[in-house]
Amino acid sequence: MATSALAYVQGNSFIHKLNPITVLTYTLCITLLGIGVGQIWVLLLVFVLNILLILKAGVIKNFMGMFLRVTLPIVIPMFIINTLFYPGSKTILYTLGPLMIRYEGLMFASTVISRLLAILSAYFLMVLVIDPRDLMIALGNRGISPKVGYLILSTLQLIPYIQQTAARILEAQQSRGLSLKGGLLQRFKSYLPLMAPVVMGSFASLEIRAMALEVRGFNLKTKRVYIREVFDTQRDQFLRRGFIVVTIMILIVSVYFKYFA
Amino acid sequence: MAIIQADNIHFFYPGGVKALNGVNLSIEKGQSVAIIGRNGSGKTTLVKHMNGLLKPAQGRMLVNGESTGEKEPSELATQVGLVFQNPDDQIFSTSVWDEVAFGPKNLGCSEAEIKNRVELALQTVNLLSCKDLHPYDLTITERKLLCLASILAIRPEVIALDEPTTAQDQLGVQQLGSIVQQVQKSGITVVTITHDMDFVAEFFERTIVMRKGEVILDGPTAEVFSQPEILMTTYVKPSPMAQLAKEIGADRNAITVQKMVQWIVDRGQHIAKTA
Amino acid sequence: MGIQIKDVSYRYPTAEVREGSTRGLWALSHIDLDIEDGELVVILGRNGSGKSTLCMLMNGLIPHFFKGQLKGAVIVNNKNTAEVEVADMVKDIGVVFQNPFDQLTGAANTVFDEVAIGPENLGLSREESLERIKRALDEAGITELADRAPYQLSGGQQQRVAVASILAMRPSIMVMDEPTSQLDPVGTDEVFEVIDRLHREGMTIILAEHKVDAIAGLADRVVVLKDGRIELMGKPKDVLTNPALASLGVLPPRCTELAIRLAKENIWVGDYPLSIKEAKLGLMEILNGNHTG
Repeated sequence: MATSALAYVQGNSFIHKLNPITVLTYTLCITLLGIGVGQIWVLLLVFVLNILLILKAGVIKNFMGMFLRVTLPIVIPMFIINTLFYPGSKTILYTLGPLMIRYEGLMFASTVISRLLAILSAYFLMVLVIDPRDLMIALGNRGISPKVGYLILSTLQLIPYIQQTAARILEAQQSRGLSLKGGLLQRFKSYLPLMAPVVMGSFASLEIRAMALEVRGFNLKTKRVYIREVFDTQRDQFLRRGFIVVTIMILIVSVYFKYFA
Repeated sequence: MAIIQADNIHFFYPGGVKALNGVNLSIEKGQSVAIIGRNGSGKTTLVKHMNGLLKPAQGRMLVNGESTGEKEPSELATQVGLVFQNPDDQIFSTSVWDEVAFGPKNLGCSEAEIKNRVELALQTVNLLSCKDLHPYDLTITERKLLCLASILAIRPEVIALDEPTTAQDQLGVQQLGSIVQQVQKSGITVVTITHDMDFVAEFFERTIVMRKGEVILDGPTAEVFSQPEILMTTYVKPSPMAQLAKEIGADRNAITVQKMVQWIVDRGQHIAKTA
Repeated sequence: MGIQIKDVSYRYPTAEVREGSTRGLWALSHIDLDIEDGELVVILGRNGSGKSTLCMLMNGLIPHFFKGQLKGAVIVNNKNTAEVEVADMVKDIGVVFQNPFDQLTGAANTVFDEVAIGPENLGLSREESLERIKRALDEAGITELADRAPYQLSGGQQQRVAVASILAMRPSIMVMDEPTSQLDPVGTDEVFEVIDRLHREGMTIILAEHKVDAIAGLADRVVVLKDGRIELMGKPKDVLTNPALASLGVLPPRCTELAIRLAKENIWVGDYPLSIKEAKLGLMEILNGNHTG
């Protein structure tokens, strides 16, 4: 049986009522900001904004567990390794026995982690709030082939799929003696065997998935008739334009401050 | 002392779904036990308690008399080996040999001991000739057997198989059955989850039936198969021969073709004698 | 109409001969098979004998999707599958694969929406689509799952969703590759009941299976493959009682096996049974009536 997956959660919030493309646009804008902005405080503000939106959409519970499970295993090791071992780090902030915490490494790690938090939280928000069918219909209404919609959706599905697969693989490995106890390094070594099965499994799956789509008529040239309607309101259009404009402005200001101020 | 004992186990999945509702059972060393029941009735959940992957919310799971509560699955792996349904969840080595050697290596066995165990395990599943192949060159059936071999090399006291017959062809199931018998002969307790009632009838002396997280029948396979109305409530049926036995009023132990033939032949001789 | 497979041989693009294996390069060799409209043909054979490959020939996935080398011709409803796109075959022929999880599109968050995708892609009117969806859900026995999320269902339930998704497209031909492999015994029966009903309503069905006991009474014809070739073909009662079956790695239904062994003891006379019902009839006679010694 599947454990709680990262997937669409029904709701009545204003976010749920938006056209999916609007939410998609938001996420893409945040991604651009996440990549382009250099100031940590801005990135963290974006992260907080996303959390507020998630709260408003009523999906905070679904978000929390999943988010922590995905980010912590990445964030903690990254933080530690970079703070201690970042190449070119000179300024020593603190000494902990044989280990030295350096400033440059700390800054590097913090920046990368802030980017991750900002982008991932937007991505998670999108997955939780967009009904995949509505997204496909919305794209279809704009003349975009459902295949594009599908491509986006399949990446959304990747997270729960990888999560479920990883969980199964972890159980299989533990069952034959792989220990998860021990320090961080030990844990790293334990995670390595997970990679191969996940990757191999994904490829085989993708192939069958593509065939299954084919067989459902995804490549038919006939005009599709959806059983549901998805509306694109004035508010949606206004919001989308707003997102794009604000994103560009923030990027310009951020770049200016980083390189010219 | 039972090798596996469940004392009033209750278990919930995250999200509140109750998967086990007061399960009690006890398995003796050397038995062959099949667990059957509807998809979602708690079979896999129960088996995952046996090697510590899951811990009871209430009640206890005892392996060799000790509670699994504080133990890691990796610690219990030497006592209970669980072979999962999807072999590709487990395989990560680049050669069959290495895959099977992982277990013993992890246990700290000597080089000689590792070689010994790996050879024996591969021989048991008939894959010794494939020892240098890359696992992905094997067929899915062979990969399933490879996983079984990897667990055999650890020499656990109990082997639990989660749906080993799914996607197997008939001869593959027969082969699996004879491996189960071989393994059991060497003193290992075998537990299996399966939907193949013929497989159960032929190779498993005891059957446990589950429905909605509870054990509703537990006893010798022939006895369990003589109660189709109860089995039906959890979407399972007796083996074809067991069904036939009930229809013609045969001995309820005639649950396989072999046994049915025997019963009919014996009856014929009996009637001939009294005629 | 119907299906004509003419002298077809097929080789996968990455085919290699493995040392010690009896499998050759060719997944299928010189297959000649004609399937009439409305027939239910069951394909038996060991894993690796070519059953799945044969299934994927029918709607053009081979050669369009898999590439490789295809010789001969596959004509379905008067269309040559090699010359026509897979998309154009979709209205004629539907395929259900083994693994249910991979057949979910991931584009729907309820079972209802998932089953709707096929009809929507076909461009049917909303009313027609809704009607077909409801019917398909009913036929697959999953009406009560309509509002559930597909990825949270059990394997067996997902399989029935996959079947319903194809049924909603109402093809005249259905190809099913071990559709019950994940199901419990009663679930298996339910799917075979659906297949039986569809067959009686005139659908042409090709079914690759291992569960001989279940298909013995369903099939119009049985084809047994070995190493990519058709070795046996005919009515169930002829093929499933054929002594050559064992050498092909296929076992007959348990009741048939019983009768075969009883015949060796001179206890069973006459036709071999294919079902429990037939076995019972025969055995009651033997047990109550005279015993031929």
